[in-house]
Amino acid sequence: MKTALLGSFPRPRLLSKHVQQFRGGKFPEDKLMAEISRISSRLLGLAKEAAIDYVTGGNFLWDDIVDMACSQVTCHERNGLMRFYENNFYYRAPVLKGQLETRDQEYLTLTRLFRSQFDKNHAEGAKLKSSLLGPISFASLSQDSYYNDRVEVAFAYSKALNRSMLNVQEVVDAFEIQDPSIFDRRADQKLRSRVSEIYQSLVGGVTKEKHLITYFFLDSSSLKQFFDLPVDVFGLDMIEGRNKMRQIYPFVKERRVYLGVLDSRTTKMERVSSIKRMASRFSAKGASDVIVGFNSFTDFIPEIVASRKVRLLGKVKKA
Amino acid sequence: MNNGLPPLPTTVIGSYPRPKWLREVIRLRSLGRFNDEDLSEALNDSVQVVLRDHQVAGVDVPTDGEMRRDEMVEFFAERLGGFMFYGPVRVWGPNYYRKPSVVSKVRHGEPMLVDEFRYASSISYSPYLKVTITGPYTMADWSYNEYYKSKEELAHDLAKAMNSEMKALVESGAKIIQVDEPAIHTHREEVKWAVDVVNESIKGINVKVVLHVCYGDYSVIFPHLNEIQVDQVNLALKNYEYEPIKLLKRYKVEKEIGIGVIDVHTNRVETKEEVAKDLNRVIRYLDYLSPDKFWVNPDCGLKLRPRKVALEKLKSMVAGTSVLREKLKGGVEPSIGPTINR
Repeated sequence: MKTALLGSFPRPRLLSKHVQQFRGGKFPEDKLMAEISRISSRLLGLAKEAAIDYVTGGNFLWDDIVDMACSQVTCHERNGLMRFYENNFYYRAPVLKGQLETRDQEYLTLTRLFRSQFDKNHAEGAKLKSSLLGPISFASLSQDSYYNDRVEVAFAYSKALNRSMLNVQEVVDAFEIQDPSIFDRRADQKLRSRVSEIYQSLVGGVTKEKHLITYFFLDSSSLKQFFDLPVDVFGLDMIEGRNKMRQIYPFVKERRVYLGVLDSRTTKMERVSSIKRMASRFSAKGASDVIVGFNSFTDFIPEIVASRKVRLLGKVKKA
Repeated sequence: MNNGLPPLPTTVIGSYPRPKWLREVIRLRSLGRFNDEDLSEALNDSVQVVLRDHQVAGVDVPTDGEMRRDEMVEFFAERLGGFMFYGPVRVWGPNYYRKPSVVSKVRHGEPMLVDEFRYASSISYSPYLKVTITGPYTMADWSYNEYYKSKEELAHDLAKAMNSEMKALVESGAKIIQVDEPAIHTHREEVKWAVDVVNESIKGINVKVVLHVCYGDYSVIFPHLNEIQVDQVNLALKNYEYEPIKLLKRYKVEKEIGIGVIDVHTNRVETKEEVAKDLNRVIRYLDYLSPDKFWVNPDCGLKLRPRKVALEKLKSMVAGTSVLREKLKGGVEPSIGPTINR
């Protein structure tokens, strides 16, 4: 069994203020990067202490995963605040008014920054994972006034993101594609039905490990399609899916699975024994590799609780 | 008997920008350079300022601007038993709140709002001061649950606690209570019990009770609005260019409707002509409701706008409403009392 961090980590209040000032041209870039380095190092230290196998950079420069996606592709405009799925957490919706193009300089810079820190300080065998927003979610969370078809948006985004992944892959060991809308029944059905083709265009030529992460939803009727996608690790929100394990088991044989067992939306601590038990069950059902971690990114809980849960992951591994 | 309210009474949703000097006093208090008495004096003074702004704008039913509340869930969680705080959580960009965790049974102890209501009503220019209270569903949804078996169980205990608070407010003379439920339409599968929970929280509250709902998918809650035992529902509508009024008509919502005519997410000040035109459009479209069923308000609290902008927006809201009032025929008498026996 392995362990992983997932996506962004709670961003300290002062850093958020500085990021906002930086975006408004009122905070120097070098100072901001130094601050991000310091905070990323802290996260890296925590991950090393807990011997986490897959580490992310914390994504501290971006307000949310959609904001991060807009550092990789042109989002043209950003609209008013929208609720991020059912959470009391909001993002600015991209407004597409033209062709989606790759623009990953900022993303690449930050990934390189974290790589250099990671190389200096990581647990033995640990891998650096880069976060991305998946095409089904991007198409669902955007406001499109150019393509006039969510399927077209997803294909265009996949193409642009693919270029970004090819640029970034020399710097990272794995990609974590967060795509919760894959299982969201309210998402465009036509879009969901084309997920396989969309993913083919997303991952072409990408040689590093691809972890597909879903959260908040788990639609049992889409599991077959999900486990056929061209990725290496299949991630499921096991807080959402704790009563659906029997439906999931038939698909995990000889598959690498990521189980989101730490609830990133509650301060209540999980039990080491429960996590171990769930991981063992998936191994017994034939999963070739079981990775455990948070069910989604951890911005929904205070930093102190997120850190405790990372340490708990360390205990899971040792137990 | 005439209650003194004009047709299309104007009101606010609750929160209003804190004056800069109050924010400074709060900061100095956190550093220990001001004491509790200094802070209390500054808070009282700021309520005077807010009420003065509301009076200058001509708002018929004011609030105290929620000057004492940093955040709508935090304030109550700090005062109810059963909650604790681990630290701030980001809501968007650089904006955080201290999301509470429920770690033991929720208990209502001392009244939370009675003192602020008594103070504000003692200096209010209007006999109809509105008190706002965060609803039990939103309290539950915006807290972490470490103690209860389910969110529903937690929400029912919160409903009991909020009911005790509302009873204390009524005993102190409150005539209009607004229950804020911005989360009620967040989880479609929970709406049915969320309605029960809100009804439980207002049981026996026989003054005017208003429900505030804003932002999100209204199609989740509108089919259930008639089941909620409130007299009035006020809504964010301007932000959606009034699209949701189609849903109101489709579900024939029979409550008084508070029409949100001011977008609180922008500093652009609506013109009075725009307000009048928007109101006219909504009232004409919702022709199954008599004109005395309409109230006028901003979409939501104005706390995130600069104070100058907030005041100008309120002035426009009142001026635009006045234009339409003149066009309404006589005999329109809005109610101030409860329309339902709870």
